[in-house]
Amino acid sequence: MMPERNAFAMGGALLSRFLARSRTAFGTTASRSPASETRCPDAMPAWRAIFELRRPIPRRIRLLSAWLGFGAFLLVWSIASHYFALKGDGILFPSPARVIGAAADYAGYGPRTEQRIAAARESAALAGATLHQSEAEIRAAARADLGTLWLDVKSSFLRVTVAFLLAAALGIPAGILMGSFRIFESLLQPLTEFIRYVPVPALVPVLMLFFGIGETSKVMLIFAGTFFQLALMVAGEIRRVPIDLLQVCATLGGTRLEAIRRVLLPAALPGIFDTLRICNGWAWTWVIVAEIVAADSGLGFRIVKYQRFLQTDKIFLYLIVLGLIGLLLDYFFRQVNRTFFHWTDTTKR
Amino acid sequence: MPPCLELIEVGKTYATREGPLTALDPTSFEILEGEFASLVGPSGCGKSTLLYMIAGLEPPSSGTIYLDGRRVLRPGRERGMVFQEYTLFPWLTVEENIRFSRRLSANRNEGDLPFDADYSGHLIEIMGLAKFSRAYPRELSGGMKQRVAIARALLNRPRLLLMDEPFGALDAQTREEMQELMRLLSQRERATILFVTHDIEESLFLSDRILVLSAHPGRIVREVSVDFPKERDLDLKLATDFLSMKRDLLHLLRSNIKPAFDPALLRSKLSTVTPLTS
Repeated sequence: MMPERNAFAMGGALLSRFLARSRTAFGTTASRSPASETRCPDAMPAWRAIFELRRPIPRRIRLLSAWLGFGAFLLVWSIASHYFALKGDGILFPSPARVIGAAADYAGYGPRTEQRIAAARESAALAGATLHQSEAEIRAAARADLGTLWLDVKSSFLRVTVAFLLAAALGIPAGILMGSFRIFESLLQPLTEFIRYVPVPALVPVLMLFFGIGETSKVMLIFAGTFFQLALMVAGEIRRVPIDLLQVCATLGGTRLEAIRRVLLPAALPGIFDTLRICNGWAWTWVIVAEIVAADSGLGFRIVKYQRFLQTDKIFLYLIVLGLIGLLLDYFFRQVNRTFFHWTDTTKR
Repeated sequence: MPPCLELIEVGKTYATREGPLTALDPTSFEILEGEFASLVGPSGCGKSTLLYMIAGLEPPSSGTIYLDGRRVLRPGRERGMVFQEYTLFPWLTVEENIRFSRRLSANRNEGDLPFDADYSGHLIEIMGLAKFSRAYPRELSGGMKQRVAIARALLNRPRLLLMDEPFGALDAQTREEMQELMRLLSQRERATILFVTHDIEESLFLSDRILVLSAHPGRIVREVSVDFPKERDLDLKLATDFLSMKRDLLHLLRSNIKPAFDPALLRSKLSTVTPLTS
């Protein structure tokens, strides 16, 4: 096929030209010879190339700046904790080191555990007796906190997942209806838009009156926080499917139901899956709200509990765990998307 | 030969805020079985609208359309369509795209359709897609995408194939290649084709008959029989009688288009401006 080959050749030529340009733009001053200078007189210095609009930057610089971001964050954190320590409120704002120490305690080898062991040894020496609690027992007790963390993660995860699955099971069909038929759009969309703007925490009192303080009210809160958004976003994804594809289906003899099942759904599926990813993130926000209000387990509940005992280092640890859970779920959804929807043109997204 | 498609006083009027706007004056014509007919006209002459109405994707404001004596009210598998934009299903491979119509209930359990794998295989082969049958649309060039779209429409064995400027988005070389392929296809597959384009050369090369439309509102201003031999190659485009027909049609179209600017006025205005290059 001649034209295809031409297209490839052209693409190749473009690519090599781009590479040549980026090489000069990003080459170090030492490696840039005078010869290449004359060949490409308009080469710009590397620092300017980095700040060109939307131009890709070298991998090294990308990684470096990502670490730099984290480093800056840690620095600001350290400075803030020092400031609190100078004020004498060090307990209120833990340093990074203390949070790492708290994490080590969860493994049974942190400063708090060592302190306890040392104290036990001291009192045993004073009493001239053996340790009241053996060292292993103290370490095991410290590790029990890890069990608590695991329990909290499990119960939060369960609440999020049940509510999220419920919201998806109802929100996806509702969104498909709203996106496919104008009549359902005008019937449901204004109502949904309205409810969407009712702040979810404002529902907490009524939900507790309706469903008590058990699991139901928490699940309902997360559901209320995600369902309406999800339905609207799914409707948007359905509407983004080009009308041409529906027309093709119709001219090939497809019925309306077939157009939904064979065209709208598969075409919108990557977008719907992306919507699920985003809504899952919101569900984690609402589970914390629900658990802060009333619960006997869960990450949000534990954070409030640690607040009462001024164990801010553990609070920070829980925040980090929340961030990691979010990252993991995000990664999971993205991987699934990449695996199942490899046909999407990733350059356009 | 019996008429395959028959249009009787088919017109299209849109309701706008300033009142009704006529896109297409009531128009009548017939397409014969096995014929390759073209609708040619400037943009805005309603030629695409006409095609969409025949496809059943848009209702006419007046008049009736008959296919084999049956009134056209909605889209149907007997009228295949190839669109100007790339309309492949991106989640399906080339082969799955071509065989898409087999998944539809309207085309299942149909004894009269040669829906065997042979025909899709045959189409894939004559379209030069054999190497790419497992590729996804994003991996294809524009010309290949349109070849897949044509094969997809042909698999249904439509009574009438509607083509809406299908090569409009292609580069000049690919376009000519596709024209040659289309001419061959129409001969081999004995398809009845209604082809919409604004390119006079393209319509002359492809068609047995050309309907020329004028714009605002659209109406047929001339019908031209193209009597070149059935087997055509691209050299035909350089033949004297081809060129003279092209000239006639171009002049006809120009006389029907309101020019976007007046060259004389532009020249006089430009003469008062200092040229950029001085």
